[in-house]
Amino acid sequence: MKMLCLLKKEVLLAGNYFWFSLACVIGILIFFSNQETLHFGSIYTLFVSVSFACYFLFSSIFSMEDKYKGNLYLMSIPYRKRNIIEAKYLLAILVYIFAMLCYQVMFLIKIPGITLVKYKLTFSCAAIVFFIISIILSIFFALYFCFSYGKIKVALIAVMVFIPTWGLLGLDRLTDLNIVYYTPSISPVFSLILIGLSIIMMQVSIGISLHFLNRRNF
Amino acid sequence: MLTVKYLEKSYQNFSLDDISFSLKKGMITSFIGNNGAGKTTTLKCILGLVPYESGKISIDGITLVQNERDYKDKIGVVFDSGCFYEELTLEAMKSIIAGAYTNWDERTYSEYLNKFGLSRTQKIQTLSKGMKMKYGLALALSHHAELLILDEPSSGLDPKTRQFFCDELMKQKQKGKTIFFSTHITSDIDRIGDHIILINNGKILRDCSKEDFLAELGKRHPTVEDVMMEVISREVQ
Repeated sequence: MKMLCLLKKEVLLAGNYFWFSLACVIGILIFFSNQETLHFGSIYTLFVSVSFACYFLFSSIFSMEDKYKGNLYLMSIPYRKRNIIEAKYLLAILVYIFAMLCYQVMFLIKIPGITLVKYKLTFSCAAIVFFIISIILSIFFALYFCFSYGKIKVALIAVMVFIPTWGLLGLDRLTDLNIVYYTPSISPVFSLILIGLSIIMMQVSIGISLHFLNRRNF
Repeated sequence: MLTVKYLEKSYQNFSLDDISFSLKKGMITSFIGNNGAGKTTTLKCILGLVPYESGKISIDGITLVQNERDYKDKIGVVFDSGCFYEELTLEAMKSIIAGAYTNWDERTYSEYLNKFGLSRTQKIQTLSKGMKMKYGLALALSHHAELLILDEPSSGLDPKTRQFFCDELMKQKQKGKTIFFSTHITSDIDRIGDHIILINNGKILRDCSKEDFLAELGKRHPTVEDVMMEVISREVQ
């Protein structure tokens, strides 16, 4: 119940950016799947859509939390600090699940002459994207609780918006790594291991965030 | 009720030095001192908003570390600047706050909103300072808290709203609530304070009843401010 209230708080703080982030997921999936000359792989397409959505969502939440002293109030009422932190991670996971479901549904919808998403999203691809997103968010959430949004916002936009787009496309052109078009396949067991590692990484990150929050002077 | 023992907290240019006091149940205790004396830092330590080096803070024997939920369930808090997410409506903010408390009473909350003339659909940023204070008070009083902690609640308020605020605190006292409020506006204490804790430069200088505090100056009809200035100037010398 308390976690639901905290999730609601995140959504309320994001305001219209919450709906924009969800629209962003669908828009990016369609946009990246409909490039005539570029055939982006499912990993890259899903990753960019989740990364952009998380960026818009969390940058608006972080800036609202920094702008007002609402967190001061929140910390002084009977919410556990761990729950306040966990709500952010949970919201990010929900955004990822939403993006994954959108991808699967859009792949299944067949409209003559219109391509919503081009390539099938396999379990292994979904696991790889979850792993990458977990690494990025585990680092940024911990940094946010250590410093504040003002100090990490440039890094946040660089890592979640510019590097996945210009950075990876540029790297792809300069090298033969074939990052953005390649769709690797890994065994289901290894995929599960990746998901498990992602969850462990987030748990460790929650612990580190809690450590920072406990040391922070509000 | 609330007991603070040997509290120590250091910043680069300021420190709380061996702060100890306890609040008596059903009384209004005023926490006074000049700006920067350590009032807000002490309150933040009590609320678990800043870590402290040493000391023990408990409410009815429960510490924040032992049972954060029970500890905070007993407190109703009002901050000077409101500390709300101001772009939200009163209803949206309430829905976040109410979820935290075990004993949230929606009926009491509605009664206070009506009494204070607040609308649920209004955005917090459109409220005046006085209305924000009333909203904070409505939130703090709607979960049957035993202890009300208010940080500079009357600063920046017009005399009429301050009178309203003092009357409301008196009503809460009559209901048996323990009230602890920090202020540098000493005229409020002349009206409603029972007990006074004076802090200066991170040290408690006085912890006594208002009568004993006023008797210290030895002149007829002294104000809390007169005594406070005298005690602080003696300390500086």
